[in-house]
Amino acid sequence: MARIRDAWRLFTGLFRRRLMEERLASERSFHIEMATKRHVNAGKSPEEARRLALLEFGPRERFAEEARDEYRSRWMEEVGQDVRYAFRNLRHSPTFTLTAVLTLVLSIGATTAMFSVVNAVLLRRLPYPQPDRIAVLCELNNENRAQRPCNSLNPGNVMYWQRTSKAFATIGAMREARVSLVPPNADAVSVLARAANATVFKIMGARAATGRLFDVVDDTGSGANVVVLSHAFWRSQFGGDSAVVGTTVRLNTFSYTVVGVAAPDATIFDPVDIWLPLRFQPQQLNQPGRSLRGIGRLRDGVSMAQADDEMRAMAAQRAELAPNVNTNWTAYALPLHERLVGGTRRALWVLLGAVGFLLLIACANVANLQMVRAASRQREFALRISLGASPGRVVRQLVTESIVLTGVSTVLGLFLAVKGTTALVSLLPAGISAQALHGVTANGTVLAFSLLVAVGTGVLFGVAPAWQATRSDMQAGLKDGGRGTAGASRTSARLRSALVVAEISLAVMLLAGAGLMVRSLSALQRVRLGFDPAHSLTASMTIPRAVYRTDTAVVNFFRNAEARVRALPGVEAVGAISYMPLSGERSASGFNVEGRPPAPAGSEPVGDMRAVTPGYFDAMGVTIVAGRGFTEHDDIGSPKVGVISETLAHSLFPGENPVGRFLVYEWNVLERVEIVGVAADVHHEAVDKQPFMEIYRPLTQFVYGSMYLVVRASGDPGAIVAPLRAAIRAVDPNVPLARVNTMNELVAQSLGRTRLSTTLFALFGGLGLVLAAVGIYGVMAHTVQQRRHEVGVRMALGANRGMVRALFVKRGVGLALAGVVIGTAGGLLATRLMTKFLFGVSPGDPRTFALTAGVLGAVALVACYLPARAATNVSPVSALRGE
Amino acid sequence: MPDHTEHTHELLPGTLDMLVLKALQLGDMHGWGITERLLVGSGNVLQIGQGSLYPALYRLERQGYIRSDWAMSENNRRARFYGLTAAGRVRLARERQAWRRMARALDRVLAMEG
Repeated sequence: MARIRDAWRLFTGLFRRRLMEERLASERSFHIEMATKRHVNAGKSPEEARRLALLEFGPRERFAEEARDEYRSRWMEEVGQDVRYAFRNLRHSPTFTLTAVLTLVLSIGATTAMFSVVNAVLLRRLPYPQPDRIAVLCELNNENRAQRPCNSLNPGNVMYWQRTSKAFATIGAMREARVSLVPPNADAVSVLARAANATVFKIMGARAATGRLFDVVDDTGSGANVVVLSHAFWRSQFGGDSAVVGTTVRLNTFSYTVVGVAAPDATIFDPVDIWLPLRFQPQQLNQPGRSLRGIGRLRDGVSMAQADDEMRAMAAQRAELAPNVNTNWTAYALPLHERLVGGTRRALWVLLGAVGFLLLIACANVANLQMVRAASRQREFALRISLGASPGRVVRQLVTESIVLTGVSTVLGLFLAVKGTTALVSLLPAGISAQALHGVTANGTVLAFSLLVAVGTGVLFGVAPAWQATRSDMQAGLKDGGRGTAGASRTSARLRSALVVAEISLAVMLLAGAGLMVRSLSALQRVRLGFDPAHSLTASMTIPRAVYRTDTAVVNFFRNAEARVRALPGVEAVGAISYMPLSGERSASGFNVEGRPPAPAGSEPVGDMRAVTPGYFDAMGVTIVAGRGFTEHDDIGSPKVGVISETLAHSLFPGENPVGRFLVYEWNVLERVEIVGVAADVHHEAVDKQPFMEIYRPLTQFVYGSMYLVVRASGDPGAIVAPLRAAIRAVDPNVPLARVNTMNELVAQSLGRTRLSTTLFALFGGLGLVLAAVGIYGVMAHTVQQRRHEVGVRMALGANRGMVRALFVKRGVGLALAGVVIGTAGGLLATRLMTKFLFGVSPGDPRTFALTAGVLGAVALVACYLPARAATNVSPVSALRGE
Repeated sequence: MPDHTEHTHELLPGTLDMLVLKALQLGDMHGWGITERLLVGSGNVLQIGQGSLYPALYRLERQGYIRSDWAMSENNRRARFYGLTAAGRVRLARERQAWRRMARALDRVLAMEG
């Protein structure tokens, strides 16, 4: 019983110093009392005896200190000591510590930030019940596979699938459009509306935050005009007031009843402001046109592959039932997640891989630094061991130092990662679905990941020096003052050389990747867009067709609007187009050249159809290369005219003059259009996509109620935003401006993903280069330091400086060469993964690789030469003297 | 009256633990008693400094070779008594064996004749 209590006391004594002090004091006074008694017995006076006893015992504090050391030095105590000692040590070598911590913070921070994006975009579950059972439905034109891998859907086809499909439990379709919304007692706002079948909500498993979502009744033709607000729009426009349910808003001048508000996570693809019912009419079954997006939920027990097979089979049936719509078309299904992140998946993995390389370089580097440091600390270790520290204790000390380093760096790195993630997300351009990006944060998964990274890093760079420390002969270490013995230092030197080679090869791979990205970006920036983005501003306008019922009314509205804008100070030119370049919107039709045998239905050449006003080409800076552009004389009743793009001219009229020829196509009615001019190619889809065949028509003859205004300013286009809004309001206060952007912003967005990847890659590559340089410099400096004696001998024996320098440089260059060769080989393999996002440069581009090798070689040479020069600048005498 | 330090000798390094264990083999004892036992047992040659005795005791206790407990001393004073544990006995036996081997070896070396 007493023993247990004692053991407990002993244990708690760790924390309760007083108990221990009591015991020490008690033992000490007993001892002194006994010693005094002996001296008295030997004939001393009591005072003298006590004095002697005290003297023998020694100073109270020293006893207490020594005893305490033994008493308390148990596991936790030792760890505490190790940590304190580690901190003290690290503080005493600030250069090392700063280098190591900086290296680790940057790489851990970068890795964690990159991972949190990957985690959110690629690994996180979509916020739907059984998200892997949801498919996206696509159509595919056999002539146009590459350009439109997932084409919009024909409403008739969707109707047929909904009726016929066995593989899908539910199929829903949707389509987006900008509409003007007038809330009660407020001005009109332009909102993005999604018309959707009630089944879309069902497939998403969506709930209403208040009120209700659509149900089957809303899908029928006789349903009332109802609208569901998105949660975000409800909060921003109506202040989250539940009373809005049941009220009436005006959409494009029609009255709609607000029936509910969707829950915050009730969203799919890009977020929209409001939801409207999408109603199919029976007569749509065989009408042409493709404008819908479709999703479906698999029936239980049906696989995605089976559903995909069924889609193809149904498409074949539809091609027979409605050949006018479906000849040459097929359909397929793919997982929703695949559709949302498909394009970004590889880019993100490659970037994560790149940052992983950086982390590896950082590990190798810190390991190297640690080993160099450990080597020069051999004397200290030897001393500590001879003073009674076990070799295990010394190793533990080294590992503790590594852990302390990683710990500090991880904390700082996480901080950096949180900041970096925010920056990364704001940099990420359109292209990654907003939904996939929603919720990119440093969450538990990310924390766990960075913890894993930290532990892995600590072990990776902590093990090597510790292993080295156990191998080295302590006595020899003490004797020769830290120069190390041949055997131990040779193995560790070999290990360090291997680390340097690894570092250099990783850096070569990173730099090569970075180089390829930079060359892609610069190729993209050199692309002739076909228009002049400088000083232009664009904005979209949608006019309510209920008010502007006739084509003349629509045309007059845009004429009035353009006239008012043109009159604004600082405006040089104004025009309008139905689908803006780089907006991602287009509308296409098959056509034939008059006078040539028509191509069979479904395999005609396909052209993008765009309506423009006469001022468009000038405002946008699109050159007319032949014939003329449009004028005010190309009016509603005048002869039908069109302007074609150069690509169309070259493809269909090679060596001929297309001006004066006629194109025929069906767009609601049969059209016969005279080609009056040829416009320079414009990169409509994206900067890195080839221009298409384009057919421009005057707005007067091809009426659109929704147009993009293009305004060329003489100065800063941002300055005319406010006057522009006022001018449009003056024409009609119910027509709000939306999507106001400068053209430069649109171009930057289109280049955004490449620019981001390039920036990140260049950053990783640059850091990798610096780290590799530090690594090779560290190793060479240490080698030189260790061989100072030898340098002294050589120079005393008559070797000149050049010869000695060459000796060291040769060794360093050997390492660098090995690294460059391995890295180039690895890079040639690894950059193949990047093929998809390179532009205008091949993954194995010899110029990039040669340059990379050259840069690294040069950096390595400098990193070798500096320490070699330092060695030979020392006089042989002082080198020989040793210390 | 000769100073006692004149006839005490410095302990060979590493032998203190063995001597302490040996002293405790004779029975549980407090710190002072251990120094007495060693002094008497060595014919007044080995005077153990308190500065090394108590740290050694605490170390041995921590390592589990000895245990300790409060008890009354022969003159009725409360004192900390130390005693051997099973592990301590084993260690003593082993150290003793090692010591004998070492001593024999040293003897043989010192007895070498040119």
